[in-house]
Amino acid sequence: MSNSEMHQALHQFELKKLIPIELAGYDISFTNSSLFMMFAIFSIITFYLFAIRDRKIIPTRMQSMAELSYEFIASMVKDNVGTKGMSFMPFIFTIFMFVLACNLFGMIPYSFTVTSHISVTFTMAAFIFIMCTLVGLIKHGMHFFSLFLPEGTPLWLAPVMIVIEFFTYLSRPVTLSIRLAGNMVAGHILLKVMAGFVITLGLIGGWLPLSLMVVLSGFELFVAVLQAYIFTILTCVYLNDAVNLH
Amino acid sequence: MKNDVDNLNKQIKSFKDKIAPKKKKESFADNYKLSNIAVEIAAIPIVACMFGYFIDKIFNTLPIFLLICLIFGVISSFVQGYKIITKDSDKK
Repeated sequence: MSNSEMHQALHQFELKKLIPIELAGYDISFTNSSLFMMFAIFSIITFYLFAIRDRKIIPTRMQSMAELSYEFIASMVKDNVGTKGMSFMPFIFTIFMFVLACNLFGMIPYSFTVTSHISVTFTMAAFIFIMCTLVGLIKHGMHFFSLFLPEGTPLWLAPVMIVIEFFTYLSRPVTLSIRLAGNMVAGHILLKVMAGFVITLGLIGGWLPLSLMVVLSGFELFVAVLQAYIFTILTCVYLNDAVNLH
Repeated sequence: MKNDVDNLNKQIKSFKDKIAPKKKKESFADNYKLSNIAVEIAAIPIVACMFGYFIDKIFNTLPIFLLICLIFGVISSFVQGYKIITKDSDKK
């Protein structure tokens, strides 16, 4: 792949300043990423406002979608964290809907995929990591550190296991953020490269990559939903460690 | 008296089962961990190195803690990879 083609494939992830703002020497400009985050939030709020506007016993399609999404997340939290975790339901629900909306907005041509930036995903993952650690410490005190010693570990192996488990624990925000950002970047680059093949091969040979692009677009939609699900379920798993310990 | 205690124990156990997280039904999406094993294996040594470098910077002991943490990071990533694989094969 030549340099210009590479640039074209990665061009979609470029941040553009829409309203330059500087505060105390810090660049806090309103970028295309901020714009699409706002789009995502407003679309979620609008959807739910419309969905629950005229609530009926026999729900409309919109109300049904809202109720199903709520039930889906509620059962996910209940299954993974237990009833004690239901107090975190609004947080988990917000995370899922935000990541899902950002991923799906990224599928619209000429839009911007917010979740393709590690700065965005890592901020969310770091927040989740710190929150889970604090919840664990508040709920269990110093007993929370027993998380680093798996049950049934022989005493002579304990010091090594504690260090090993500590690094695994410390890597959680990194794996959580890279997984989401990596999947989104890889999928979008693949789509762009395929689109490049369609143009290069023209009318005669371009049909093959075009048909592949149709399949890949469907697959990318699936990945967008799946990655939102994975991000949320891993948040639940980490929360379960903090709330229920072993 | 003994029957009452047994009854109480049964009730406590059923309540604990009720509030504990339920065992998940296996679905297609549950195999996500295996598909992302590379991320797990690669990230742990990097985080461990960063942690070691951070300690070295504080105590001015570069590269002692960096190397120690790298070794533990590599071991940790293999342990994590092994755990993911064996968990998956246990399910089958």
